[in-house]
Amino acid sequence: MKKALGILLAVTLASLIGVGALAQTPLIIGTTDRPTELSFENSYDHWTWHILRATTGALTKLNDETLELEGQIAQSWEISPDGMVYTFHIRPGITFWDGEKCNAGAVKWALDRSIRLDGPKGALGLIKPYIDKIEALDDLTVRITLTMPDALFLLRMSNQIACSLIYSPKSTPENEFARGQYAGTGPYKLVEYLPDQYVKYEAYAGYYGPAPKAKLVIEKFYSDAATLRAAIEAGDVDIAWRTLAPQDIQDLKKNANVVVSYYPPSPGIRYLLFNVSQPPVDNPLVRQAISYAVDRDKIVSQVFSGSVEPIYTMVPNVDPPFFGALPTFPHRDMGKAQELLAEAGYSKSNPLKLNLWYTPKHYGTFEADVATVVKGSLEETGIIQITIQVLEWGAYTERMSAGGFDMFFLGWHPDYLETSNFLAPWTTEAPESMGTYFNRHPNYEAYKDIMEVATTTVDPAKRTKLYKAVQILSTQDVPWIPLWSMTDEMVIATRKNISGATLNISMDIQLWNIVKQ
Amino acid sequence: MVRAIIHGLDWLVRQVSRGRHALRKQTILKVGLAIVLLFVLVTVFGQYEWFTPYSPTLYRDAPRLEGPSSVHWMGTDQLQRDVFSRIISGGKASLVVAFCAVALSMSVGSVLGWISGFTGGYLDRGLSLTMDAIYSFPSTVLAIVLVAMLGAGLGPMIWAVGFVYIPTYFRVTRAEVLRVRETPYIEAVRAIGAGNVRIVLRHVAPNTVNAIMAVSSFNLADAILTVAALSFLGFGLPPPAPDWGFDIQNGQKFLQSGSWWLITFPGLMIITLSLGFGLVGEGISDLVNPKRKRKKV
Amino acid sequence: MGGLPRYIVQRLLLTVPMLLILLTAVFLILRVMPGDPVRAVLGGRNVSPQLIAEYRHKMGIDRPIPVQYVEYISRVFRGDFGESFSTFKPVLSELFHYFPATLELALCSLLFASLFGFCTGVLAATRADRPLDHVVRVFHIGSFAVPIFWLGLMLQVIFAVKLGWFPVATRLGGQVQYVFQSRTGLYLLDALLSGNIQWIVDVLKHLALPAITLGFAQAGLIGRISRASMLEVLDADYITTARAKGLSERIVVLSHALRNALIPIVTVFGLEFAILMGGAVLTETVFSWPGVGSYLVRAIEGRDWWAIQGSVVFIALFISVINLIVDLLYSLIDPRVRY
Repeated sequence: MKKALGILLAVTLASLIGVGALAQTPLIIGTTDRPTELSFENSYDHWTWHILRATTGALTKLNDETLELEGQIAQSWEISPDGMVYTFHIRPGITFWDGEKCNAGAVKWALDRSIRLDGPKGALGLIKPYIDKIEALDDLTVRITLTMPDALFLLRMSNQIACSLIYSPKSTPENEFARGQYAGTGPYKLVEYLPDQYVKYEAYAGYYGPAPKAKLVIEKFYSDAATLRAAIEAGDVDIAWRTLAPQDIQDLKKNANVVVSYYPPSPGIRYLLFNVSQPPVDNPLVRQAISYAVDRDKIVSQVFSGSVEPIYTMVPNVDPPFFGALPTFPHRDMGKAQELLAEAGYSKSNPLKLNLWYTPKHYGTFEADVATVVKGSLEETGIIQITIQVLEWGAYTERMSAGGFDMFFLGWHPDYLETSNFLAPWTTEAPESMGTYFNRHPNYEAYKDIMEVATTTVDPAKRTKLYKAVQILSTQDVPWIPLWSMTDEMVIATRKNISGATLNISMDIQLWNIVKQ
Repeated sequence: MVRAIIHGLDWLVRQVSRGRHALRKQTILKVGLAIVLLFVLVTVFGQYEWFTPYSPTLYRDAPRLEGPSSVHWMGTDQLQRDVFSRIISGGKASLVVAFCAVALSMSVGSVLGWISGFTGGYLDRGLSLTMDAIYSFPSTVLAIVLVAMLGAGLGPMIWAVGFVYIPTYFRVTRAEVLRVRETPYIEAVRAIGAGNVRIVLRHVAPNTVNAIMAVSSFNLADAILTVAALSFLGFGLPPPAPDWGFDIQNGQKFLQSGSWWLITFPGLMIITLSLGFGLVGEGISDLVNPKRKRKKV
Repeated sequence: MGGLPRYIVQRLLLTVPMLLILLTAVFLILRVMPGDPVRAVLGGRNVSPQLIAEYRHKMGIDRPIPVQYVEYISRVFRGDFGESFSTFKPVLSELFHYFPATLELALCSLLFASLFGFCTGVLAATRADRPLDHVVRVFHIGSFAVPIFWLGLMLQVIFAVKLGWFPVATRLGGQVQYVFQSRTGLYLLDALLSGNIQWIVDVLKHLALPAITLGFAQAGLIGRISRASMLEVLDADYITTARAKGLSERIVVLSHALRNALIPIVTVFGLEFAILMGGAVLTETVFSWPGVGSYLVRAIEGRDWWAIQGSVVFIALFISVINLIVDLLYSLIDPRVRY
């Protein structure tokens, strides 16, 4: 009761003082992540999309709690029976923070512009192929005609995808990438962005939804996890998110002033890949042997202090589950691994010599340790000798797509939350640019056929079966070895006086829900 | 040619005996040399598993991230490896790169200096300008840029670090050549038909050698730090090879959890070795300029 | 034109070949070595060869190297350093954005190094060959051998993590950051101009550890020079005269010797700055300091060719300007020097 009174008092006081910039202490969020450029049409990274999402909306959005699709800028919609025409009704009275009205014309303009500019770093590929034309029927009605029926279209139009966000025609240049020049619909207004330093937000008074709880927000960029951890301990930041180091998470749990919250599972996965056309890993026995010898538990315990989860299929185990996730990969079995290696003609006197490639910074600071542990676990067979090789990200991807790796690490965050996005990219979609060269594998056509049927089938039961089949096949062909799911990204550390900072499968915090007392 | 070699040997013997004599008085030099020698020996033996108490590269069933104890004198790291074992074998990259890089820059720099000094004209001017350009640029930054372009590993580090020191030797040698060239004696020698190579070997080399020795000691001290910085930034040996700079980068992640031993000991190794080379440099400088010594009030 | 202006122009002209040489080296190595900037920008996901070709064309790196070279050089001399591959902003304006942070850090560390070095040097000189002298000298020599990043980490863990006296990293605390107005990019100057005590304290607290880290080794160098030059001055005739006049040793040192002992120290400032720029890369990495050093490191990681080249030219230019200033300063302090 006393506490409630205190809050009431504080709220009254705050409202008495007013919402002036100086009257309230800002909410401070610290991260080691970075936005690239604040362009709807030319960005495809987590923090940029987080900023854009906090400052403007799309036609639809995922509900913060139920994760179901609901209207955002559109308040309702109709879908034609053939699934080709979507008619959206815009919520009346929405304005951008530059004073422009957010009507059908603005929606059409923004979507058309994003699709037209289609930046090379952007994600327009997720919406562009599906949209035939966009028309403003009247002030508050937009009709989008598709090129093909698409079960995921409302998801594509949601605020999960930055290129579907709506922004004001007045503030963004017509033919150049936005790069921070835009006005959105709120809940927050972007005040200032200084690369490598901070982003400042302020609540947009004209926001059509419930006013955000924290009026002022600042996000500070730290160069490494260690300083981020120190900042949350010292109270320099209220929230530390993306990404604290595992050991630091363990320590922060013991800190009385800090609350560490986990929101597993994570849709992000890490795995080993093989170039299946390159000797000696073109031999499936060798790849199978490695899949038996690799020690996920050691990676989880030694490198990540238990803050990630081992996975045995590429499709991560999330809630609600994906269609047909099936953990098919074997647990560690040294005997079996040695047997397979012997069958492939290797022995202690004729060891299997392999390179293991990793890139040092792109996936955080623990890659070297992961590589060391994997090397150790494979060499425990006594028959494998690993040489670890390092390349910076630019050179890494170049060599990867040139087919220059035999065995290498990679990571994946889904473009959209659907099973095929965890199976197709390395096998049927882009085997060469992913470095697996699976298109030279004898079973390539078979995979292709299965995936084609699966992605066009509407019947979930049938789809599930086909996806399962691919996963079972993949334990024989071993183009990949799933290792762990990045649950360490689903951790938020907050100071005691912060509430409402939660994560869900969309992997983003809802800035507007966070309360600082 | 034979005579030149004999002269060279003769000169070397004189230098060594003079050096031995001087060593007796030079505490700084002696301490420095002792440190360097100790580190070289430890590092060489450290490459063999029978010398290190535990394997420096493989994880084993030891406690994870445990502080110094009687079993693990300098504690263990997150992969359950013995820090002490990693420390004593972790100097390989530093020493190999430092020695090779300094040897590289010394030979290239000196030869360029001789050529430039003797030839004069446009070549001399061009070379001097190039060397000044490299010299005035921050060497650490240059090394980082070069090694980032060349790729990680011992070879690229040797080239990068070696490259940035070339101007130092170039300048020392060229200045000496210019000085010697003007002396009437050399004019005379030249008049009776002595070639440039001979002049260099008999008259220039002996005079520059002391200065070059001092410079190279300081360069070695600096190279140890540069290599550590490169490894720290991730351009060194690939894991799991033990390496001081890399281990500090690694330890940084656990520093705030209180695992101070992960960075403290590799750091102390770098400091001691670099200091060792620095002291050798000081000692040699004192030998070369005895004035410096006397100048103390 | 004669004298000083002529000298300045000469010096500035001399930097041109120097810049050309550095640029050419970096330019060539970047293009010969593996590591594709286009792929680094686009990432490894589903990148089609057409997109790469299109992007290479857009970046202007699909043409023959000599053509690129000539074009780039001519652009540099017009003050156009190209656009960053990763941010698409002009490299020069980005450098100007990051530069004040580095400058502020360098100046403050130099200030620390000068004060600390000079004091210890003078102290050692006035107590020559006594135990204190030896301790100080060992420190002066030893300070060179300490890796900057290691020192930074140690200071962080002791003074920020364990004792909590200073913040761990960055330039400002979150609370101040939100309202802080920066005009010059030099936060200390901004804070001082604003007169806001809270801001000044915050900026100073954030500056302390990085500045000490970066200045530590320089303090040793300056200390050594101060000691040597002080010894020389104390030996000079006019000091002997002063002593003979019966002035106390304190007055002799403070009023007669100090000024003259300062001269040699100014000469090393140019050199100092070159070393400081090298150290700044590491210090900025350790302290999340948003300066030219961290910009360069990020450019290297992203194979951002224009940004790497731009940073190298920028640093080189900065060093030559500093050297020039130091030379001129030297002529002001020492009347014997004339141009």
